[in-house]
Formats: sequence, structure tokens, C-alpha cells
Amino acid sequence: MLKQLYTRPVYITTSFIVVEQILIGADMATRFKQEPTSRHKYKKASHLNDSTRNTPQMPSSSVQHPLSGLDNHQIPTQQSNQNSVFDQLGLSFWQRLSLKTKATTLAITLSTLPIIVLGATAYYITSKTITNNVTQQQQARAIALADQFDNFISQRYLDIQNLAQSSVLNDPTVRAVVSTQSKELSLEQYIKNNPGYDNIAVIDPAGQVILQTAGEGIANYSNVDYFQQSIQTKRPVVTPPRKSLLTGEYSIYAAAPVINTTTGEVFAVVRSRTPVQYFNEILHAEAKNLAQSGNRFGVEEYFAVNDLGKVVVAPTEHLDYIGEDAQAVFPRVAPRLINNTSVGSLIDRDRVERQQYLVAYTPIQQIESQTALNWSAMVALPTAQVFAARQGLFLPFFLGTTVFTILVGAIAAHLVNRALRPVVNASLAVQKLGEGNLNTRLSVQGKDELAVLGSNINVMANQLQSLLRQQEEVTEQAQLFADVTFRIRRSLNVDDILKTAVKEVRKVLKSDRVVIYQFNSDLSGTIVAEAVAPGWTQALSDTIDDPCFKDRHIQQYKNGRVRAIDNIHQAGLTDCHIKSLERFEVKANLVAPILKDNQLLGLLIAHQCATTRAWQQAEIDLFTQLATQIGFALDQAYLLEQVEKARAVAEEASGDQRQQKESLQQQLIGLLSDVEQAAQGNLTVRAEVTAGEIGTVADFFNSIIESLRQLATNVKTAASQVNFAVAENQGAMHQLADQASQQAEAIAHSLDSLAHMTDSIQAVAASAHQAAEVTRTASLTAQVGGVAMNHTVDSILNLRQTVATTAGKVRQLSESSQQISKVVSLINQIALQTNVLAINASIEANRAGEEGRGFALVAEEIGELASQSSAATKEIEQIVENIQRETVEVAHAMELGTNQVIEGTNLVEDTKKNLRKIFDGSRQIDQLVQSISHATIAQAQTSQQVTQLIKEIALISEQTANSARQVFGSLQETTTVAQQLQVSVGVFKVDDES
Amino acid sequence: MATILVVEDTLSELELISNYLRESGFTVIGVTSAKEALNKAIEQKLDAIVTDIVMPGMSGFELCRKLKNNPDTEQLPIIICSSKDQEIDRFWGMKQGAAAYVTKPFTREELVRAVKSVVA
Repeated sequence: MLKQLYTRPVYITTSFIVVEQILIGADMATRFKQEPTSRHKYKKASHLNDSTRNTPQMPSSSVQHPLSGLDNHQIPTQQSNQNSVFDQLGLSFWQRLSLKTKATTLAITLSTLPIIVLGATAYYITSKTITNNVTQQQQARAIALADQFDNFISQRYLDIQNLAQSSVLNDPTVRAVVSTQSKELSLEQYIKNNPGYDNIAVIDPAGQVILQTAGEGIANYSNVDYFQQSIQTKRPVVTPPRKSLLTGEYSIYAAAPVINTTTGEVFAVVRSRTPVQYFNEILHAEAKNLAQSGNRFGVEEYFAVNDLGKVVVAPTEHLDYIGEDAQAVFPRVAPRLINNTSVGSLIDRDRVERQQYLVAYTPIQQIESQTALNWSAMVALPTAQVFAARQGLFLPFFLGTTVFTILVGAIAAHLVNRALRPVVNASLAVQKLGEGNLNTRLSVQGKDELAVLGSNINVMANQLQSLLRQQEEVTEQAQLFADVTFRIRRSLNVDDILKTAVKEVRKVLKSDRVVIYQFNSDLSGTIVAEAVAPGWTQALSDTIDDPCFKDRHIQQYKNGRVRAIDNIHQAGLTDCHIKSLERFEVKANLVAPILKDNQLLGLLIAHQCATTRAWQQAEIDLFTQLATQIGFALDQAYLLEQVEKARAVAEEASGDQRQQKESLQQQLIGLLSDVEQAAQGNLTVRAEVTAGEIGTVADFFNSIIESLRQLATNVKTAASQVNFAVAENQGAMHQLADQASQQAEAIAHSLDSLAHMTDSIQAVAASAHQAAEVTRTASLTAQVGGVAMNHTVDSILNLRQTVATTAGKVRQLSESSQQISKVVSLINQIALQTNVLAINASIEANRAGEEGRGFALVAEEIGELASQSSAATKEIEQIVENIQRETVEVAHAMELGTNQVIEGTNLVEDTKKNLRKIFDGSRQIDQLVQSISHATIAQAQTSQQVTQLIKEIALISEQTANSARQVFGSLQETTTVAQQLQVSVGVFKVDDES
Repeated sequence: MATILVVEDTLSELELISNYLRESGFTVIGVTSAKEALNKAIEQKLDAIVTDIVMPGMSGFELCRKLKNNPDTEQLPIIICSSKDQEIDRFWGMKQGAAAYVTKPFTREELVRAVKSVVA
């Protein structure tokens, strides 16, 4: 019986794992995961009986399979975790596709890919072949074009050679016979017979045109290169096509020398002109013919490019290309033409027409006329035309391949679809199962792996259904359990809890009786609560003292043992136990311990009285859990009781406290009313020191108030003292300030006086300085006077000397005048004698008569002269007398002067002495004045210092005055403060006694 | 013989203390108020004062402070004898200058020992 009960949960448990792991249905998984406790409990229960553990499980073999399958399934996931994110993304994308899609995709891919590849390859090869053919064909045309061009040029060469050798031109006899007109006619005829030429001319070696066909020609050919060349080489010359200076067209010029058949000398040159246009037209007419006659590609376009890269031959539709740069027309082909020696092809885009062309090009060979051309021939055909065949090929290829691919793909998809249908069905079924549609079943046919899978899915669905049913039952029980627990725990009263518990448990188990058996301290027990179906014995309040029970089971119950007895007579119980059970008509019972902190409070017992009963495991579990809940509820109720008791005790205590508090409050109120007035400044109050707790605190206030009182008293005294002292000081201070101000003023006066004094001193100094100057001048003057005096003395002395000398001279003068007087008297004697002689002579001359007359005249003259000399001598005597008289006077004067000079000398000496005295005096004065000046300067300096000092004193005295004023101000403030303080302190009432 | 001033507003208590001290050989002067005690302490030469705390008007604590603030009496030892038995009371009493603190009810020995401890 037990075995059966326990095995099922084990099976359920393992199946749970299976279900979780197969389905990985999140919904189911979470639902099952919510029950880990019950699962463990089942496992624990299974350990109770070893034999149950080894019992082979019905689904165990099928259990192992999915498990191992699960492991395999997980490995790629782990590997993918190790791969890069990119791989993961790709992989996950591939994984996300359904199997059918994957298989179909793969099948279609595998079957169609070769066809597509084959089709593409065939198309590619064919297309390539066509392209090659076309290209080669075109290259052949290019070569042919080159040849044709060559031929054309050669023809020009031969023609001109023939022309030059015609007898009309080279045979002198014929030339002479044939008229110029007929010659020209024959040339015209030649042009008609050989189309292509537009002008033929015969030119003499000087370059003058002799003959000319219709059409213009230039006047003189002497400078034209082919002309010169043909004369020099005596051979025909063909030029490469060049632009005609006259017509402006590209033309080929051929020139040949006309050689005199008899003399062998060149007497003319024949020259032909062929427009390239002619060649062009021929070519393209041919090309058109070719196209019409069977070329399937349309009209080819022929081009020739000269050595300068210019287009010289172009199709008639594109004559405007002529003269263009090849580069401008075929930009890709043009570079290849330069120095090209072989045939080639290229697809190029015509820049003018904006159309793609397949262009074949080849160099034009050396012409036999030795002219190096360096030209290229090109054949172009629009690619659209060339590859029309190729494009025509594409559509059949594409359509054929596509149709075939679709056909094969459809067949592959159909086959895959058929092959996968059972798998898809299985998958759908599993999906439905996963969605909760558990009635889904697969129809199984055959015996292959898919059939096995199908049957396994069916088995799984069955299991799931039964599991779900069980799960629902468990949930129901859990709900029931929750309800019952809620009802039991709704009350916190022990009795209520017990009554509700038994009632609810009986209802849940639908048993006949449920009791709660409480152990007493001696391990006997009492039934404290009962719920019993009507008609059965009441067991309430029955004390059961069961010794055998006590001994054997209490410890087991303490360990949490739950005992389920389906039939008391078959459970191997002791007789006394059976008897005690039979007292209450018990047939089957279920016992669970009510535990609290590993202490056995009692037992929850369910009795089946009517019949025996096979207790279900779920019932047992529920019962056990309910017993635990009852334990919790009781525990809580007991705790609550204790709390209530504690609260009652606390309330009692708080009553005492309240009383105490009230008394304290009363005391505090008393204290406050006592000291209240202190707040208003009355310091005479005193708190009463009572016997209570506050008494001492009151005294603490008293002590503070006393201290305050003392303090206030002191402050009051101090304030009044300060007031008094300040009032006293105020007058003194005021005076001090005034005096200081006066002092400052007096000092200022002194300063002014001192300034005056300093000025005077400075004036004195200046005067002394001036005096010194004056004295110095005087001294100098005296000195100068002394010198002058000395000069004077010297002069006087000189004067004396001069006077003495003069006196000497005067004496000499006097002597000289006396000598003069002697000489004059002598002269006078002489004159007298002369006069006598003259009278004697005149007498004698008179005696001598006539002959003596002359002599008488001379004697008369001499007599006159002697009278005149005598008169002069008298005058001289007079003058000398004057001189002598004056000389005497001068001598007197001299004597007088000499005396005066001596006196003057004496006076000068005196003056000199006096001057020296003055000089000495003035020097002394100078020294004195200088010392005065020095003294004055020193005095001035001193007075300045004194001024400075007095200024400092003035400053200090001013500061003193300021300080005194400040002090006075401060004192006034102090007075105010002291008065305020007195007022403030006055608030405090301090003396009680008064 | 040492002179002790006992200050106690309850006459029976005053009598009890006085008796105890007299019997131990001290000269005892009894007064019933702190103010009186203050006057007596200045007037007379005393060796110690035993005082109650809870008294109308000036309390024992204040008496202590007054005595300690007066230079004449600041050396005078004071024993407080009071029914106030809290630790704060004893602490405050000692702070106010008491030399010993005896809580009521007291035995003769306690009182006398306290007095003797301060009267050397």
C-alpha cells in the first residue's frame, strides 16, 4: 500500500524532468518549478522505504532516451556559443528556418544549380565564339581595307607613271606637233577614262604650269615638295593624302617626271590630284553592297587615320569626322593606333554619336612607292548590330534554363514535401501539444523511425495529460491548504485556533473525527479540541495515559514522524494501543506532530471510525502541513499571550512612574513659582529646599541666584564708582584738551616768530656778505692806490732829476748867450770897418772918374750891407739880452720847482703810509665781516633746526590735543556706558533687608 | 570641651541630637533656624555645627554657603544631618562645604563618629 503511494510521486518527478526537457515549454516549466518543495518532499518520502527506490519505473526507458537526446541537442548550442557572433547570426538564421523550408531549399538548390551553371556556361561559350567570329571577320575586313587602300595608292603611282611616259608629253617631236589645246583635251580624256582624279597638271621644271585640266591649280609649284622630289629623283612620287590648299579636301597627289626620250632630261613634271573622298565613296558603296548582298551585321563603317591621328577616311554618313582627331571619336582605340603594327579589336564608345562600336584596326602597309604612311585602317560596326546575334542567343538560353530549372525545382520540392510530411505532422502535433492541446494524437503507419517517433509523441501526450491532472489536484490541495491555514490563523486565541483547526481539518479530510492531543508535563495527554461527525463518541477532555505509546513514539514524533494507519488491526500495533483506539471506534487513523522549536506540543489526529481508510499521500502531506501550521498558529498565540502579560506588568509599573512623575511635576511647579521672579531681575527670591528630590535642585538655583545677587551688587557698585570717577575725570580731561590746544597755538606763534628771526638772520648774513664784498673792493682799491702812489713818487723823483738837468742846461744857455754877445760885437766891428772901407772905395772910385763909377756902385752896396749887418747885430744883441733875462727867470723858477717837488715827494710818502694803514684796516674789516657771515650762517642753520624741532613739538602737541579730545570722547562714552550699565543693573533687585 | 551648634527646626530632633552629643561630652548650643545659627556662629567661638537641610526660610545648604563665604567662619566644620538621602543631596552638601553628611535616621554612633571626625 505504502509502496504504491510513494512510487507515484517518483514517477511524476522524473516525468516532470522529461516534460520540461522535451517541450522546453516555458509555461509548463515555470509551473512545475513552482513546486520544488513538494518535489523534494516526495523524494525524501521515497527514501523512507528503500525498496521503493529500486522499483523499476514504467516510463524509465523512455525517460532515458529523450534525456540523452537532449544532451546531443545541447552540444551544438554550446559550440555555437563559442563561435563568433557572425556565425551565430548565420546559424541562428538557418536554425530559425523550418525543416521543410531547409530541405526544400536544399533540394531545389542542388537540382537547379547544375542546370543554371550548364546553361550559363553554354551561353557564355557560344557568345564568346560569336564574338570571336565577328571580331575576326571584322579584323579581316580591316586588313582588306588596308589592302584596298594600298592598291588605291599603287594605282595612283602606276597611273602617273604611265601618264608621264605618254608620247604626247615625253616625245619632243610629238609634243611639237600636238597643240596645247589638244594636249589638254587628251588629259581631260584621261580623267574621264580614269575616274578619281579631279585635276592633272603638267609643270615645267621652273614650276610654271604648262598644261592643266579643268579645275584649279596653284601658279607655281617650284616649292612644292613632291614636285621637287620627282625632279630630283626622276621617279614618280605619291604623297600621302593631305589637305589640298585649294579645295580644302584631303587629296592624294602623284607626280612623275616627264623625261625627254631623246635627251633623257626632265623637261616637265606631270601631277595628278585624287580626292580621298573618291576612295571613300567607293569603299562605302562597296560596304553597302556587301551589307545588302548578305552581311548580316549591317553596313560597316570604314575609317582611316593618318600618322597625325586625324581621321582622313570616314563613312559617307560621317563625313564630318574627316579632319577630326581620332581621339575625339574613338578615345580608347586612338592610343592603340600609335606605332601599331598588328591587327586588333576593341569595343569603344563613339564620343560623337554616343554609341558603342566594335572597332577592328590595322596599320596600312608600306606602299611600293616607298612612301611611309604610318596610317591605320579601322572598321567599325555598332555593337548592337554586331552582337545582335549574341543577344538573340541570350533569350532562348535564358528561357530554356529557367523553365528547366523551375521544372526540376518543382519536382525536387514535391519529392521533399512528400518525404517530410510525417515529420511535419509530428512537429505540428508536438506544437499543438506544446500549446496545451493535449488531445492531439498522431496516426501511426509503418514501422520506420518516423512511426516510432509518432508513437512516442502519443505516449508523451498521454503522460502529459495524466501529469496535468495530478498537477491540478496538487494545486487544488494547495488552495485547500491555504484556505484552511487562513481560517486557522485568522484568530489569535488559542482555543479558537484549536477549535477552528479540528473543524477545518475534518472538513478537508472528510474523516469522522479530528482531535488535538496536548501533552502534559508528565507526557500524559489531554484531548483539547475535537471535531466529530454526529453519531460518534466524543473524546474531548479525555486524558489518555498510554505508557506503551509514550515510550515508543514520542521521540519519533519529536523527529517529525507522521503516521498513517489504514487499518489499526493490520498495522502491528500493541494491544493496549488498539484498545485505547477502539474506545473511540477508530478503524484507521492519521497522526502528525504539532511541533514548536523542536518541542512536541501535541498531536493532530484524524480518525476514521466507519471504515478503514487508505490514506492518500496528498492527504498525508496536507495533514502534515496543517499540523505544522497549527504549531505555528499556537506558537504565535502563545507569544501573543506572553506579550499581553508583559504589557500588563509594564502598565502597572508605568502607573507608579506616573505618580512619581506627578509628584516631581508638583515639586517642579513649586520650584518654578519660587524662582519665577528671578527672571524679571528679582534676585532676592529663594526657592524652598524641600525634602523631595527637587529640594537639592532648588538649592542649586538658590546658589546660582546668590552668586548672581553678589555679581549684580558688585556691578552696581562698580558702575556707580565708574560714573563718579568718570564725572571727575571729565573736567580734568576737558581742561587737558583745552590746554593742549592752547599749547599748540602758542607753539604755532613761536614758530612764526622763529620764522621771522630766521629771516632777519638771513638778512644779516646777506648784509655781512655785502659788507665783506665792499671791504674787499676797498682793500683792492687801496692796494691799487698804493701802487699808483709808488708810481707818483717815482715820477716826482724823475721830475726832480729832470729839473736839475734843466737848470744845468739853462746855465749853459746863459753862457752860450754871452758868447753870442761877444760874436755879435765882433760882427758889429767888422760891419763898421766894412762901411769905412766902402766910403774909401767910393771916394777913390770918384777920383778915378768915369772908369771908377761901377766900382763906386759896388762900394755903395757894400756900405748898405754893412749898415744892415750892424742893424741885425743890434737886433741879436737885443734878443740875447732877452734870452739872458728869461734864463735868469727860468733858473729862479727851476729852483722854486725843485723845492715844490721835494715837498710833493714828502706828501706822497705820507699818503702812501696812510694808504697802507687803510689797506690793513680794510683787511681786518674783511676778516671780521667773514667771521660775522659764518656766524650768521650757523645761526640760520640752528634756527632752521629749532624751527623743525618746534614743528615737531607742534605736531606732538596737536596729537596730544587730539588724544586728549579722543580720551575725552571715550570718557563721555564710558560715562554713557556706565550710566546704561547702572540702569541695566538697576533692574536687579538685590537687597532684601531694606 | 568642644562646643557644637545644633541647627534643627524640629524640636524633638533638636532634643535628640543635643542629648546624643551632650552624652558624648560635647557642649551643645541649640537653635531652630539658620538665621539664628549664623548670628551665633559669629558671636560665639564654636568648634563645629550640626545642621538640618530642610528648614523654613534659610536652608542648611545656604547656611553652609554663608558660613564658608564669611572669613570668620570659613574654617568652621559643618556636619549635615538630614533625611535627604539621595546621592545628589550628599554630593551637593559636600559641594557647599559640609565636612560630613549623616542621613536620618541615624544612630548615636554614626552621629558622634561624624562629629568626632571633624572636631580633632
